[in-house]
Amino acid sequence: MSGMRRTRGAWKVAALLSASLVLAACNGDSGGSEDAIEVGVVIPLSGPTAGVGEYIQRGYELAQEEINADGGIDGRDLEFKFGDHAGDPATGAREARTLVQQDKVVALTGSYESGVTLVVAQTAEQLKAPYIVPYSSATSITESGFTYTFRTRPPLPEWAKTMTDFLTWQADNGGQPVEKVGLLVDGTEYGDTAAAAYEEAAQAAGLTVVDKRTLTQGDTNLSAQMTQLRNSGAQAILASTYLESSMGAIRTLDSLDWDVPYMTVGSGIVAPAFFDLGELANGVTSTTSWASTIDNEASKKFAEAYKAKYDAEPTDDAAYAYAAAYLIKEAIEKAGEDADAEAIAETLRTAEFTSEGANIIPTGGTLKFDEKGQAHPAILMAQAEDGVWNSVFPEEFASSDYVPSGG
Amino acid sequence: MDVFVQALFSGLLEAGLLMAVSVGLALVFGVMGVVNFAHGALLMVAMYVAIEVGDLGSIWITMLLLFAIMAIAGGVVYLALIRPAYHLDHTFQLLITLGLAVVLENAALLYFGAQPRSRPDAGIDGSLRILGAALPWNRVALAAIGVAITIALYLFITRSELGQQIRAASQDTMAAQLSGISVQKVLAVAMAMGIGVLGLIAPFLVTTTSVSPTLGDRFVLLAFVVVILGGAGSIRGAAIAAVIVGLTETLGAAYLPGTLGLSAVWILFVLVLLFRPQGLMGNRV
Repeated sequence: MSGMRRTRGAWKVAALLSASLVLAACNGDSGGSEDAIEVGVVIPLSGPTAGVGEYIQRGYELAQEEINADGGIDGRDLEFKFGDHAGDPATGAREARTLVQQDKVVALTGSYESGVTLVVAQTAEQLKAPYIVPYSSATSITESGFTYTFRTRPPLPEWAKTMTDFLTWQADNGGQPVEKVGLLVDGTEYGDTAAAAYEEAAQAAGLTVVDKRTLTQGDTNLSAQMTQLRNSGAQAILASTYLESSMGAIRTLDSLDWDVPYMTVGSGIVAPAFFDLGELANGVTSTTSWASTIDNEASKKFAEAYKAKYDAEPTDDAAYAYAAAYLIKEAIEKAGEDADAEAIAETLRTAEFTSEGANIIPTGGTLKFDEKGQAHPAILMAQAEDGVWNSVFPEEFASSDYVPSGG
Repeated sequence: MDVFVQALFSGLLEAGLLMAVSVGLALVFGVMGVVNFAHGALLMVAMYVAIEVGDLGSIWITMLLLFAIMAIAGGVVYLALIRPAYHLDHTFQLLITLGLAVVLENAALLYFGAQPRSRPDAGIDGSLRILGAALPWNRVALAAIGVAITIALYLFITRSELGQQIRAASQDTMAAQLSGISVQKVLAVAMAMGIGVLGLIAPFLVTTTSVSPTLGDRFVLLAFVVVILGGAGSIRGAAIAAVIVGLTETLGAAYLPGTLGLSAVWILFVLVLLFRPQGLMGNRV
């Protein structure tokens, strides 16, 4: 009797675990043709940042579909193979290794959390596989001496500089002058890096950092921190919050009747789900590395194709994925027929990339990597207006006028 | 002064929410000895259901509907997964509920997608002003429901006949059976109640917090801290622990320098485990 019960219990456990494996497998991608050029993508498709991973995956898939419909790369199909790192560095390294050694991909791209990106970059370095990083913004990724890592997204100091530049600019364009800023960061390495970048940028812009408060990502009850920041005399808040906590922060500011600029990095605010806030979303201005409204034909075409295919607005992460796909295509073409990983890496180190697809991000038309493997597109400020993110700063990429709060 | 008042009140609101999430877990843990790792995942499911059913004319109707749905879910979980393993080692139940959490998370990812979803516009606007502190009404409602649930569950377990049967069944299964109590039935009811209360808070929780498939991880960890701090299985202890954890969180965030504020809850947790491992109200209801 007890033996039978034991077996039944164990069977249930086994059944549950295998069911979850089947479900997890359904999420992955499979199949492929014989002589396609394969590129590995290591991104979070499960775990806490799976939402971002979904946008990224769609960006690559859309580009793959377009490129192959247009004749592929010198007649061969381009095929992205996806590996799920679930936000875990060890898993990321393992997936990268599998893609390079077993699936024989010619290049790697992806990752999101900077911690994962760092170990994937180390793996790529060991395996001598070119690795294109369109997301993570930690400074260390391009300061570690990697020669196979190429980052298209600007690092945190450039995001911070855009925020302080904007604060200065908006004071001359109908906004309130800002002299004191408060920081709201999380207790991870990302938060530390962000705080350091904000402090440096503030100092360079002649702003005083009057207080620094911390939170745990995911917290939405931030009134204790906000009250402290308000008491410190802060006139703007520079934060490292992800979307969940950013939305909590905006709600908290509203409940305290405290109207100050609140900015964070990229899709921490500038994402379609932010509009769940309804009326509260309007007027919020934050950084992004791409907006669907910028004056760029290829970029607009991408936004429309994305909307048509997925019935959703693309994010900057999706745009960066799409641009990375076209960058890889151009690099392989430039490296010549039967290009191997080494030839592609060398092309990425030296060439200038001018294809429309690779330049839907605000580069001004040419993408090029410096000696540290860092490209330098612009960071934008986008303002929410009735479900759309309008690019308002810098003026070169602005699609709408900035509307100061209370105006 | 206003920092203290704000931190104090928002800590109390946090405590109310923590109570709501933890008492069900404490009930199941206390009376059944079952460590339900799927508690957070079931809360996540309740929140998605709350968003899916949307506006039913009144948020109270949504609450009752969700209570019914989640209570049935709790009963089913008990009958299908816990009961067959009830006489086995606790490790089996732990693995089964952990497995259930993984299945629910992946099913949510597949069915609802990975984008965070919420209903901030569900019609509970504005803030309660009290001594200079601003408390959003939806959070106040959430905390009030948490306290009400806690009191109701406590009275149910200590005063009602069914509650006494549940306690009897958990203390001595054999004796309870001999005195004519249908042990399996009362334990199924306990599980249904413990999970059902998640349905009561879900319609309010989606107005303050977005739900994504991994939301449960965050809540289940804090809920376990509250349950263990309170003394495994004690509803009264969980209520007191929720207040302590809530206040530690917000006062820590307001007054402790840097990231120390974030660690305050965990430091407290370690201290309690070191000096009073049975929890604050160990061995009491």
